Amino acid sequence: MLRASSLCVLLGAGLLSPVVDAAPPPVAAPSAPEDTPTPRRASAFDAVADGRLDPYGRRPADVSRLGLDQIVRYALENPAVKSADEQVTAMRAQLRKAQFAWVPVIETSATLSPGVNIRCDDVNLDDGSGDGFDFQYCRSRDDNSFDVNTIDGYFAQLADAGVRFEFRADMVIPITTFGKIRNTRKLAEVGVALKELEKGQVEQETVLRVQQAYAALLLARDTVGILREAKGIVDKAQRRIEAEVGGGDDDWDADPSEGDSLRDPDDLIKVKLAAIELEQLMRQALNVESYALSALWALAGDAAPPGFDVKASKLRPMAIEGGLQRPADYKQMAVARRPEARMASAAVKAREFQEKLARSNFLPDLGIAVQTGIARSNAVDQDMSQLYYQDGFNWTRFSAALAMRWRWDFHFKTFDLQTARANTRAAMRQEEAAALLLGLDVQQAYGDLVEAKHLVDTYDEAVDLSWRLVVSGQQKDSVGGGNATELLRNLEKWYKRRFDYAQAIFSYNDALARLSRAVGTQLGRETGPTAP
Amino acid sequence: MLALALFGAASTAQAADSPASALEAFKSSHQSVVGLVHDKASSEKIEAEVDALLDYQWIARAALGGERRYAKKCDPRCPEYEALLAQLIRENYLKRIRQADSGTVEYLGEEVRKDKAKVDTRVTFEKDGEKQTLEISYVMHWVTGEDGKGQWVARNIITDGVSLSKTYRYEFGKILRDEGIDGLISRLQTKLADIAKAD
Repeated sequence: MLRASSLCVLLGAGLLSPVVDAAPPPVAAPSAPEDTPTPRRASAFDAVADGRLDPYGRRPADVSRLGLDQIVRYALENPAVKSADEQVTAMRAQLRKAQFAWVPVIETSATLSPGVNIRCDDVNLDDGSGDGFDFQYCRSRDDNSFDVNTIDGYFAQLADAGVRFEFRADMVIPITTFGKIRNTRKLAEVGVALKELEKGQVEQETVLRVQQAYAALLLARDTVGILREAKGIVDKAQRRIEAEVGGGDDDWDADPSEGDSLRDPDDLIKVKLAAIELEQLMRQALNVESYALSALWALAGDAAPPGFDVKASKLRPMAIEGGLQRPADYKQMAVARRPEARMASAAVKAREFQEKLARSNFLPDLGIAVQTGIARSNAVDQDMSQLYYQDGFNWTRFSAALAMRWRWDFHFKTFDLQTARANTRAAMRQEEAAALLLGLDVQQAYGDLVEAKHLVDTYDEAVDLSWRLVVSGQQKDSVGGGNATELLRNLEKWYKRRFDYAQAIFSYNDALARLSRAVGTQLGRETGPTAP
Repeated sequence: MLALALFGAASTAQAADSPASALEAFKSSHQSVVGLVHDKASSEKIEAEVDALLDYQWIARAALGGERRYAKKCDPRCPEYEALLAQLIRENYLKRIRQADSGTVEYLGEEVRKDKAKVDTRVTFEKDGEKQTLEISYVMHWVTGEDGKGQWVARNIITDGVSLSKTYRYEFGKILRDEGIDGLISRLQTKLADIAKAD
């Protein structure tokens, strides 16, 4: 990300040239020699982007031009924000899962296997009393020729054993879990809130980056504009000096009676050196411009028009909605609105619910256990009516009972509760620390904003005053007074003040963007002709 | 060493009815001077060679704005000024050429425009153990004498792109503006005295 300091370095070395009759910027690059491999070899002042996706140089005329608000809207649809949104969706699904934790879960099982072949006969035994008693005689199909309870006997009758089918279903209808389900649901609700705040955090971070890249781009554009004006004046000064002292290396046959004997020949060297310095500064400015534009493209994502440009042509101080408030007001705003502050509060709640959950884990779960099942074996006589038979082959069952589940691992649960309590206290301390740090963020951004505003006003006046020196120098020069050194020195002052002014606006907008981020709401509004 | 390159080409200018090659003329002059210095010839003889190559009068007048302007600036001391400047250039040359012993001169070529030519040379020498080079161009004019014979004379020296003629013109113009011709002559005299004292 471009920082203001890098731009200071970019232009801090000295701008050596006046501005009055800035040559109009060229509309197209001059035709390069055939052996020129890339347009970068040409003068930076003539650099033209090689297509709409090339961020270096003058932008093509047919690209889309977006305002800051439009870029922000695109950026809020970028993959990072969408990823955060999907995490919210995932957490909501977890919440629904917790909300339906009370719904009984039915566990079923079914088997289909070879059975056994058993037939039964009713038998009446005479006990001598005349009534006798009924008996049932069950055995393998071949009249006990083999024992089905042995492995050999089981497999011996397998060909006639038929099929056995069994189905079972069990469920527990919870009566009470002593808070486990409720606390789990509350925990999930806090989880959703945290994810939503994380999404808000990503969104605000994205907006901050867009605003910073946008301001950096406009600062670079202002710098490019200043350098173009400087180049125009240097070129003009060079032409004038060449006329006065001769054209330099190629005028060796000039008549000595021509020209101005009071013009220092070194003036030509000075303006040529100034032109070289401007060329280097221009390349650096174009690099910064291309970095900032590339950053905006990356932040806006694929949804934005490819290779878009910005509508604004000049860096202007952003307006503050409702005017500048007191730091204390912004700190209150930060606590109430900034995602990080609300996340810290939500984290405390989450830890509290985790502590309650740890407490409820000491208690049992109560519920109604319901079981049902059916088994059928088609080769087993189903008429086993005598009580003293335990029919393991054909049965139907249903049972409901009050049930309790209680794990007696109280030592582990004690440690879990201690951990949960400590985590709650840690979250509370983090919330306090977050409040302090947020206050510090607000204070720093606020201080930077006030300082930058002062600089904007100061440099605005300095630009005006230094310009008067330039005009004065030009007036002297027009009547044969002054010299190139003085003129270039005054011009350097003026350009430095102009850059300082642009830098101050950049710092102001950057500080306002950081203050917006610190308080969790957008405070700045674009001004000027392109403002919405 | 620089002076060697600047003024080391003195020789009797080539006399001819039509302009010969300025490069050849300059090369011939330079080799002649080198030979005289090597043979430890008298100062008078070397001066004569150099005077034949360098057009002191033209250089002096060009430094004051050329033929049309110089008289207004140096009157009534023009002859004195021209003599002093010629002497200063010559003294500087003699001082330097006697110090020079290891320089080599390459003749790179010439560019001719009507009766003027620029002879490009490269002087290579060692200074503090390091090899250094200077690009020196001699602006030569074909002049015809009263006897009708023509010759190439040097009227300007451009060292690494810096024109001696332009530098003189600016510096002298500044001194004339502030101190007048008397101040300029006084400075030239002081400088000549300094050179004599150093010798």
